[in-house]
Amino acid sequence: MLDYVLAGSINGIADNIYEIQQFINGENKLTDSAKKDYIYTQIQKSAQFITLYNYSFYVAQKNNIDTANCDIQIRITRKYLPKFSERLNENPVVNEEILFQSDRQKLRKI
Amino acid sequence: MNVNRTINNLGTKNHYALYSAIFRLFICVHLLKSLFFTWSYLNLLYRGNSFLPPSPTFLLEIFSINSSILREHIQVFLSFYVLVILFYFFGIGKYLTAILLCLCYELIQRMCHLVLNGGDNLMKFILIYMIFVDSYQYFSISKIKFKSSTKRYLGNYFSNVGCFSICLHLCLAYFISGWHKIHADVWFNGVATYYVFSLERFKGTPFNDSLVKNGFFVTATTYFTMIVEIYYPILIWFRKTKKVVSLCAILLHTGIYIFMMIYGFQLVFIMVQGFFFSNKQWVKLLNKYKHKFKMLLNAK
Repeated sequence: MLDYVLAGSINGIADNIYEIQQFINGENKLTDSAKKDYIYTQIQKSAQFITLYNYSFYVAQKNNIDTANCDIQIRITRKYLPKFSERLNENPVVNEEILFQSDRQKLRKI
Repeated sequence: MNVNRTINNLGTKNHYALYSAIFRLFICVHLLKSLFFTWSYLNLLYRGNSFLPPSPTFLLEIFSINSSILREHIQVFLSFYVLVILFYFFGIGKYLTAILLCLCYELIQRMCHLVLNGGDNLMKFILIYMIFVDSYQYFSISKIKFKSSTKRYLGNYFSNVGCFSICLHLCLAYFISGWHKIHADVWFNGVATYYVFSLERFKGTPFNDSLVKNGFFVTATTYFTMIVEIYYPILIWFRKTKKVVSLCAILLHTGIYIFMMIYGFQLVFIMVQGFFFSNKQWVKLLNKYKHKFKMLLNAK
């Protein structure tokens, strides 16, 4: 169930980023940085992001981490699978890129 | 003329009487099973006091009721939901129970949308269609007794339209899915199942890793999936191709069930296939098994 919740949240964020990008790409008045800011604000307000954020707080509490003195930054990366043509390669090149990186914030429950 | 005859035919008799009853039982078992598996996660999923942020249900908010009331009394609500499922199972309350079940299911889905999948989505629509379906001719405590021929005609009409809508919805789901696949490079080039099977989350068997290394397996399964989804909405309506196409769809979903660990989703899609077969075929099958069962009892 936890896997469903976390995977659902991460996939939801990825889908949201794509949808917002599609939505604002036509807005010629916005600068690139304004577009980026808009995406960041929208994602950090989404239920999916809050779920991940609160989950970090929950994990920290479970592990007796002093949450009052902790900051948190969520980074979602996309790790590419080796290409089909490289499926038999024992050491394939695996690329990873940052899909989303949140602002650094105090660790607390939202 | 043919269209007129078909429309008139919809009201003459319930063409899906037996299978809609079987499907009603399946819905109840499926919903109870899902509830059973989520029961130990009630606090996390529905209460809103864990790390999942509570979201509005919209349905309650229409009536100016805050959905937090439902979250606070989630066990009471779920007990009511179980009661509604049991009533629906035994055919008590008929159409009214179907409406209640549909509303309860919608509320549950809205309360925690993060754990939903395509099967849940299809089930939501099926429950809406099932409101109109007279699935109480079999496996029900009592049958619906229509007081006039007009009411009987309308009852049959809406029941048949409801079941037909389920069939159309399934075809649409396949068509849209197939359409998107054609436009995706990995599907078009016949390598998509390699990427899907390689994902850790979908490793249903220990053989997945070995299977994706086989080029023939990957290409065959990718194109098989795409061909089934694209041609299903057309070929399922012809008598000659119906059985083959339905069998291919069942094979596809069984494959996903086993190799990708997506269980409930696939069962719903497999069970809907039954709506494409006539009542006569289902009654014949049921009688055959009844006969076999009687023979078995007599032999003992």
